[in-house]
Order: sequence, then C-alpha cells, then structure tokens
Amino acid sequence: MIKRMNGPAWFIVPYWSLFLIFIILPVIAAIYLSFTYFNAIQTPRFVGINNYIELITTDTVFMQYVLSNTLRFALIVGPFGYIMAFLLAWMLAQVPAVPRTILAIILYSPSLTMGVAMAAMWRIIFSGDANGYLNAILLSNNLILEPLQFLQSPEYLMTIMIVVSLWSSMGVGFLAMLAGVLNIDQTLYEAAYVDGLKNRTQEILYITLPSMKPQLLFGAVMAVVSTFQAGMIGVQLAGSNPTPQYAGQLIVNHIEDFGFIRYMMGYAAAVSVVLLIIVYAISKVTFKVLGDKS
Amino acid sequence: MKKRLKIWFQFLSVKKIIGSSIILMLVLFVVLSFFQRQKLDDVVNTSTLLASETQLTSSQYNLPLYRNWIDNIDANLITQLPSSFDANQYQGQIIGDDFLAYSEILKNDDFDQVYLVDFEQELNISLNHITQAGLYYIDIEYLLADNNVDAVQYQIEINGESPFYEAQTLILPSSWVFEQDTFTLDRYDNDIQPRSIKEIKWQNTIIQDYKGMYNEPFLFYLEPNDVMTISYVNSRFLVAEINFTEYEAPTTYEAFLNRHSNATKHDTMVQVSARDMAVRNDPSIRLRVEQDPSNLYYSTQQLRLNTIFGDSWESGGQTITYDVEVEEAGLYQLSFKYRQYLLKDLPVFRNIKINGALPYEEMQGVSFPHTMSFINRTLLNENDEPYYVYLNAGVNTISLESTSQPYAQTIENLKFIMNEIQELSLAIKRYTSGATDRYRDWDIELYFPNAVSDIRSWVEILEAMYDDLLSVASSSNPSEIANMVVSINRLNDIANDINSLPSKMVQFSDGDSSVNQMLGQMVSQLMRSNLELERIIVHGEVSLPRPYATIFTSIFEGSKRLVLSFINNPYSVNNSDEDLNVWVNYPRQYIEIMQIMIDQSFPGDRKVTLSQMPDQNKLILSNTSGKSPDVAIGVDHWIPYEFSIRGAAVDLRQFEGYEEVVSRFSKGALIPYAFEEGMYGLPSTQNFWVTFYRNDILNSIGVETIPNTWDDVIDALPLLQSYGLNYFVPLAQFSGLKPFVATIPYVYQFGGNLYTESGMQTGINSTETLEGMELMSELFTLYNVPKFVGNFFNSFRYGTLPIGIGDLATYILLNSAADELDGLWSMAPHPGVYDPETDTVNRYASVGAQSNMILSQSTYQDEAWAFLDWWSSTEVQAEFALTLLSTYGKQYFWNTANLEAFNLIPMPRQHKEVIQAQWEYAIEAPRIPGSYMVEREMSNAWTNIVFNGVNPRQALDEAVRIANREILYKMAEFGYVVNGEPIKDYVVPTIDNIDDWLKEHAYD
Repeated sequence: MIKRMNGPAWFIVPYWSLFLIFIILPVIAAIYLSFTYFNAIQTPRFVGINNYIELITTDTVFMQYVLSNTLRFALIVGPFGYIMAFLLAWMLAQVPAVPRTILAIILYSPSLTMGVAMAAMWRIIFSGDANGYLNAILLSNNLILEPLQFLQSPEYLMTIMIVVSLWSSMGVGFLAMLAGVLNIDQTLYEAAYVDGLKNRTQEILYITLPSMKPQLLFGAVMAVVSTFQAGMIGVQLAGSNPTPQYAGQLIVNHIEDFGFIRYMMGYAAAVSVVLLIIVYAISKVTFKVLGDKS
Repeated sequence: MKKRLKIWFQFLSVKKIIGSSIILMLVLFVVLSFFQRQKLDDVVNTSTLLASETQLTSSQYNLPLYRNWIDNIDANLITQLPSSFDANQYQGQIIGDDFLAYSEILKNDDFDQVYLVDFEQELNISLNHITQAGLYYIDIEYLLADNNVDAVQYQIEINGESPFYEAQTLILPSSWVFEQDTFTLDRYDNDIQPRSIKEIKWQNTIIQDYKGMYNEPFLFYLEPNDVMTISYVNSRFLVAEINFTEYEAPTTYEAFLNRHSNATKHDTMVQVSARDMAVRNDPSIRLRVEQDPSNLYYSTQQLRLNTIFGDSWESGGQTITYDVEVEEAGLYQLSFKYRQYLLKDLPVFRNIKINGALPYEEMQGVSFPHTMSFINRTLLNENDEPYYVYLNAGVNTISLESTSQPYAQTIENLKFIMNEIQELSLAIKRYTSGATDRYRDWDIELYFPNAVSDIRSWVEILEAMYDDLLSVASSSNPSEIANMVVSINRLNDIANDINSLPSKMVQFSDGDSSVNQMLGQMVSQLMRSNLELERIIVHGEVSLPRPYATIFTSIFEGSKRLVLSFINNPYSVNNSDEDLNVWVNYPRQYIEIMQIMIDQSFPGDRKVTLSQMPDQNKLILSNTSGKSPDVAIGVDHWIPYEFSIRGAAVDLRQFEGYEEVVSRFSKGALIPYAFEEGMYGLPSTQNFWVTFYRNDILNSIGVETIPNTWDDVIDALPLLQSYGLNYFVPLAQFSGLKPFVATIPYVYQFGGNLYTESGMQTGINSTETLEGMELMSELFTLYNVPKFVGNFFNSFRYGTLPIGIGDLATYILLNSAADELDGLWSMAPHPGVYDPETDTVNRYASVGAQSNMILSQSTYQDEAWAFLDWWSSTEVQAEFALTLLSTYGKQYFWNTANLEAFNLIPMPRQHKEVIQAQWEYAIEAPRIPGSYMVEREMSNAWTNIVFNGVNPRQALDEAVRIANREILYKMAEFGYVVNGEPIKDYVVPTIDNIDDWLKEHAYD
C-alpha cells in the first residue's frame, strides 16, 4: 500500500490521521459502547442490543417529548434557517463589496459567539423578572401585568429556543452560499436575458439556483447537522437539565441526562448512535434532492 | 524625497491604506500611553451636599434618629462634670483577678474593679453625683473579651430606654494586627496573608456612631439620679470605667497652619505600601494581588499581595492605620495611589487621622473620585494648593476611616421616600385588595386625595437631591444615580394618571425594578465606600512615581507571565505516585490555608499535596482513566453514593477509629453516605435551613410570636398579607426542578418516608406524605405564598418578605453584606409539625452540604484515612474555621460538620443556639438506585398540583408510578432485581436505623 502511494498522496496523511483519531475512532467507540452497560466508572459489560430495545420500548420520555421536540425544532429551524441563509446571501450579493463584507461579518458572528451571547444577551432579554428586557418593554406598554416566566414556563420555552437558534443560524453554510452566488459567471445572466429572461425571480430560479448546487448542498447538510446537534440551547436558557416538564428537551440533552446525571453511558451512547443514524439519513435525503446526478 | 512621497500616494491601494493606518494607530497608542493621566487631583466640593436643605426622616425607625433628637434639645446644656465615678455607682458583675485568660492584663492595670457585660449581665450606673441636667459626651474604658470577628455591639439605655435610635447598636472598636510582620509564603512561593489577631488590651473610646454617618460623637442628656445601662448585644466585654469627657472639634486649616507656622516643609518622599497595615479595626479588610509592575510589591512569577481589596473596605467606620516614619518633623503633603471603581462618577470618602486625631476639619470626608485605573491623588484645597499635615520625627500613624457622612442626608431622604411609597402602596392595596386588573376603574383621587401632591413632593425632593449630588459628581450625567432620573419620570407618570396606580404597582413599589427598589439599591450603593489603595505617599515638592508601568514594561512583563503560566500552576492537578493526592473542591483561598496547616501540623509520614478540583465531573473521568486522587474533599453530598454503588469509593467502616470519627457528626447528615453495609463518605460541611425574620417589621405589624409550626405559619399569613408582605418558602427559590432539599421537610416532618422499607418502591404516596404534599401545595394555591422568588436575601432586605426559611448562604449574606439590617433580624428554627405523642415539634430539614471520601483506586488507603481523621478532628476544624475568619473575614464562615468544632466557632451566641437546635433535626435524603426519579417526580407532582390544579392524590399516584418503574429498572441494573423479582434486600438508611452503620466492621 505504502509502495503504491505516490509522492503527493503523502500530503493527505495529516488530514487522514486527524480524521481517524478524532472522528472515526470516537464513532466506533460510541457504537461499541452502545452495545454495553457502562456506568462511567466500572468496565463496560456487553449487553447486546438491550439498550436499543429499551430505547424503543420503555423510554417514554424519549418517545413522548425528546423525539417530538427534536423533530419540531429541526423541522422549523433547519428549513427556515436554510431559506433565510440563501435569501440573505443572495441579497448581500447585490450590494457593493465593502458593505457586503461588513454585513456578512455581522450576520456570521452570532453563530461564532453563541455561548457568550447566550449569557450576556438572551437570558437578560427573556429574564423572568421585571428586569428582563422583553418583560420590561411589555410591562411599560401595559401589555402584561406581571412578568412572564419565559424561560421557566413550558409554553414559551420551545418558541424562544427556535427564535434564538434562527438568529444564530447564519453559519458556515451561509458563507458558502454567499461565495456560491458571487462565483456565478455574470455572462450567464446576460445570455439568459438575451434568451428572454424577464425578471429577478426567473433569474434566481433558472440561473442562480442551478449554478450553485454544490454550495446549496453543503449548506443543507450543515443545517441538518447543526440543528440536530443543537441541544445546549434549551438547557442554557432554562438553567437546568432536564428542562421544565421536558419542554425543551432535545436528543443531545437526553444523552447528557443519561450520561452524566444517571451515569448510564452505554445507553447514552445508544441514543447518540440513533442521533447519528437520523442525521445520516436526512443528509442522504438532502443529497438525493440537491446532489449532482453525476 | 518629494518624488517618493508622490509615488507613494499615486499607488495608494486599499492594502496600503489599511496597513499604514494600523501602523499609525499603534504608534499613536504607544505615544499616547506616555501621556496617560497620572494624577487625579480634582477638588470635590461637598459643601452643597452637606448643606442640603431637605432633611427628612423615615418613620420606620422605632426611635428618633440622633440628629432629630439633638435638634430638639437646647444646645447650651453642655456642661463639665466630675470625670470619674465612685465604685458604688456601678451595679454589675465584678470580675476578679482570676477572670479567664486576662488575669495578666488585669493585674497590670490599676482599675479598682472591672465589670463583665454578657448575655445575662448588664452594667447599671447610677448617676447620683450629677448635680445638674445636661448634655454629656461619654467615654468608655473597655476590653473585648471574646475572640470573635464580628464587631462588638452594645446598647445604651438611660432609665431603661434608649434615648435615640443609634444608641441601640453601638460598636466598641477592636484592633486587629497581623500575627507576624512578614508575609508567609506558601509552598509555591506566593504570598499568604498572615492571620490576624485581636489585640487584647484596655481601650478607650468616646461613644460615637460607627456607620460613619456623623462627624461628631454622640451627646447624652442626663439628669441627676438617672440610671445608665450598658448591655450586651452580640459579644461579651469588660468595662473598667465610664467617664464624662470633652470633645474638641477639629480646627480649620488656617488655624492649623498658624499653629505650625514655624514648621518646615521637607522635599523628601516616603512611600508606604497599603499591605503594611499596622492596625485595622475589622479583620475582614483584606489584601489582593494587583499584577502591575509599578506596584511597590510585584513579582513576575509569584503572587504578591499589594493592594487593599475594595470590596472588603467599604462599610462605614472600617479603619486602617499605617505607620509612617519620617526623619524630620515638619509639614508634609499626602498622596494616595488608589482606585475607586464602585460608585460610577461619584466620590467615596475617608476621614484621615494623623496620630489618632483629625488634624483639621478638611480631613473629614476627604473625597476619592471615581477612576477605573490606579491613579495618584494629592490632597488639595479649593485653590489647588496642597494640604499639609504635621508629622513628628520618627514613627507617625496615619489612619483612613471609611465614611459615608456626606451622603448621610441623601440616604435618609431616600429612605424617607421609600417608606412613604411603601405606606401609600399598602394603603392602596388595602383599598383594592391587591387587584392589578388594568381594565378596572379605581377612584384613587377620591379615596387618597393627597396621593398626587405627595408623589409630586417626592419628585421635588428627588430633583433637589439630584442637583445636590451633581455638585460632587465627576460627570454631568452620573450613571450611579441615573436611576434617580428614571424614578422621577416614573413618579411623574404615576402622578399624571393616579387612577391607574393599582395596575402599576409593579413599577411603583413591588417589582424588582420598581421605584422603591431602585431607590433602595441606590441607598445601599451610596453606603458602600469602596476604595482600593496601593500606597500612601508622604512627600514635599517632588514628582510622584508614575501610578502605572510604561507600555513597554507592561507588554514585556505580560508576555513573560504568559509564558510562565504554562509551567507554573500552583494547586493544579498533580499526580505524583509518592504523595497522598487530595483533590479539593473549594476556592483557592481555602486550599492555601489548608495546605499551610497540613505542611505545619499533619502528623502523617506521607507528603500530602492538595490540588484544586477543576470540576466535580472530572472526578468521574479521572476514575475512568485510572488517574483518580486518593482523597476528594468538599464534593457534593450525593457524589459518594454514586461512587460507592459502582465500586469506586472505599468503605470507611473497615478502618480503625471509625466509630470515634463518625461520632463527630450529626447522625442525619450521614444518611446519604450509607450504602448496603458500608459508609462511603463523611460530611465536610453542614448546611442548615432555619427561619429568618425581621424584628422591626414583624413588631410594627403586630406579629408577636415567631411561627413554630406550619399551622402557626398559616395563622400568621393573613396578617402579613394584609400588609402586602409574605412568607418565603424555599420551594420558590428553585425555578425548574424542585430538589430534595426543598421537598423532604414535608415528607419527614409528617413522619413519611421517601421509600418503602424494602427499598424497591417509593413511599411518597403514604398517608403521611400525602399530608405533607397537601401542605406543600396548599401553601401556594390556598395561602398564596410567592411561587417564585429570585433572591430571598434581597426581598428580606427590602422588607417585602420579612420572614422566611433560609440557609447558610442567606446567613452569610445577612451577616456580612447587609449593614443596614444590623440588629434588625433574628433566627429561629425551621417550622415543623407538632407531634402530640411526644409533645415536640418535628423540624426535620435537610443539612447536606459537602463531603469527603476516599477513592478505591487509592494505593494509600490507610494514610488517606489517617488524613481524613486528622482533617475532620475537632482541633483542626476549629483552627481552620478561625483562621479563615481572621484572615479573610466574615464571608468566609466555615460551617464545619464537626459538631464540637462548630461549637467553638466564634459567632453570636443566639445564632449558634438556633443552628444547633435545628441540627437536632438534621436529616438528608437517603439515596437508592433511581432516587433522582423520585426527586424529579415529586417536583413534577408539585407543578401539576400548583399550576395545573390536579388533585394531590392523583398527582402523587402518577409520580409514584413513574418513579417506581425507574427504581425497579435501576435495581435491576445493580442486580437487586432479576426479571422483575427482588432477589436481594436493599436496606434503606433512615434516621431510625442509621445507628447500624456507625460501628466498625470489626465489631459486627
């Protein structure tokens, strides 16, 4: 094998070794652990597919709250965030270079500063006493009489999680789409107008979208992965895991609940494998829809 | 040259522009840094503030304030009188030569008789030798007999009544000195603040206000044959003599200069570092490390204590005294390198005394304006000429006493308005029955015809005060008092539409951001005279050293520190095979003291190395990776159980001396560490939940007895609520999940149990627990105690929740952070359930705090046990508690779980008795597999009952179903249940059977 590697092939060795150590091995370890009983302290004990059976048959919290919450969260944040990312990228492509760069940084930065922003901004905005910005505004306009418990009450928590996630969803996918829009050959548009293109909508539908398929695909995969991985957000907003009445419980929180509160690492690994499968399946669907046939 | 410039501009690209502007900015930054402000000598004129015309007094005081009292008395009454008393005028407990440890001091002084004032003994003095009624300054010769860190309070009564409000809590100043002159170094060569000791000696003080609200001592109006009583408040003391005395007000600066017109001015400079405190009157004043190379004490690598920590020097009356040595007598200027970051745009004040006395009146209330960085301040008069002080050749003392006197009037006025707001709000609530519906019309104008004019008058007062404060502010829009403007606008809004007030109570008096709270926060801010001091400079016409390091030095030192930080990390996790590795889950200050105590006095052979535990979860991970420590100190009380059931903790019952060691703790506190046959942890600290109440408020509304049982609480609620007040139950403090600590009192006080005897099911659906659960929810649904309280301590301070159940954290805050409440609050045991059979009240409440354990991967288990034995022993715990208190002050209260050691901790006797009484009912939730589900489901049941109106029985049944399934599931996981059938017994530890765990295995 080494003999057959030509010179330039050595350049992928650093990447491959990192990928192996930090991605492949942990995934294999998780899959292995999901077939064991592992309490974080003693040696794992092999129990076959028991964890999966339990997950499907006895874990009412998972079936009743976690799965439905995660799907609801992902189905709203994923597509909406994705469409927003494309629209914003397209709109940005219409403005001159300098303001575009500045606006792009502004839009991109929330996805970088999530943890800090959470503590500094969103918890203050939605704080449950009269000092919270939103409560203060509502109170001073006489829209409410008593502060609402945004972060504690099950009826608001999910909505707030979705709003905050949408705010921070302009991530790498958005940058890729912006690059994609900017890379489209301008002559295509001119040629299309010569051929009878009438308006901007047609421009988007017939030229822009088909010409940036790779970026759209990348953005879609990123959106799927990041929405399913989002988990800390509910716990950070509510301040406790489990979230009140499991209202903001996503799969990642469920994994943490089992892993670090109940010390059932094997079970937690099984749940994370299920998460992996869901993410993989949805990415496959995305590939089918958006991927290049070649 | 010209040509080159031309070319440069011709080919100006974006890159070039950005590059050159970055370079330009950098150069500008470096150059400008040399012109950074070094001095802040602005003169602050407090005369407008002091001459403020509005002088209002809140009616919340049970007695007139001194300033109102003295205003009503003819000032000409001051008279001179015989300065000493006859022995037969005193009536009190006489102390002989043999008193305690003080006989040495007593022998050396020639007092005829010495009197003890303690909790059962007061000192009465018959003033039968006074021939004439008059006003007198009084001074007192005293010795502080207890070694506690709290300020020693006492009370003065004339004929059985305190003449004015302040006389109810007076302070006898104590003096604290460092145990040794040099600073000790820990094993990593960092500075450790030496322990402070109280000087036991006869002291003399003229009776005065201790909060720094008055410049002059108190006068007392005495008539012939009056009886003056000096009585105990929180600490014992000895009194030798009471004398009448004269008080000389300080002279003006001019008079001072005239007196010293012959003195020379020297052009020398003497610098004294702030850390070289000679004496301070409060051990809480402490030092911190300021990493700046320009400081007198600085080391790149090690930590050098060099600055007074501002947060510890902010209460009125706290005084630090420095020794300053000058070679020649003469006049010197005073400068301070300081920082005052707390009061934004407003100054704080200090009284400066030279050799124990104010040199002239301008040294009263010397101002220190707001600055975010350290800066030099030379004291100047209005003409920008320096103030001189006269120093003798040799050692002089310079004292800085914290004072808020210039703000005193503002504070009283604010308190007045707050009180008025509170009263109006209560009156309106009585009229509306607390309704807040904004669609309902109220005729406030008709029923409260004065409301609008009152509110307008408060606005005027606030506006006048704001203008007065502007005269001392360093900005035209001081952010510290910005809320005053907000309050003014709000009050105007309310006055314009007074009939809507019932629906605006949240903005007026009730909410966290109401006018009332904003003013309250301002009061507490203005009372904090936070000052960080790096050095005192005594000098003549010389240029002062720069208060900051040049940019090159700081960059150089900063990068050196950055590099060193990779190799030099004291108390970081260490895994030496030779040492006994101990991970400690306490802050750095605790670990430093522990390490020193271990290095000095731990008798074991093996070297003990402490590391700071980064995070409790790391203990689990370290165990997985085989790098666990030998001993863990201070982990949460549920951790040892989780380790023991998975075989990672060591059963302590196997060790020699186990019985003696566990006898040091409350039995109830040991419950969570018992598992099967073994005991896997020891309590380190112990919490307490007790009733805290405000004497002043409860007295004024007529609550006479403090609720002893829940029935009493329920009886007291209607009265409290008719005044808009309420009772705080800890359930309201936990927003999401209500943990065991909040729920178990309702289970155990009613005789219920969390689990059935077999341990295979939860017992929360028993008749007893159902009763507890009903109380727990009815308190909120039927009796309307608040459902969510963000911070009980604040509500307690502001008086909206004048009574409630709090724990250690509340106690520490009340003790150290609420000066304005001194003497106004007390403690009583947790309310309980009356048991007619035994005629006692069941007060069971949780005590779980932190714990210690030995990990089973340890190779030195016997040594680890010896260490735990030593560490939890009474002497070591008592010494640790005292060292913490005397090094860092009251906030560092060590609530040791060792009962005997707790008894030795210096603290007010009444508080200690309450805590000890509560610990008779110490209990903690036992742990079984799956108990977290019982905790969760009890919380969910409560939410279901309170918010969804579900019937308690039904809610509990649902909770039991889910919890039982989880318990069975977990029991199966640990092999107690196979195929749904129990195969082994699981003995649940309870308060009744815990004795079975208290014997060594060898004696089974």
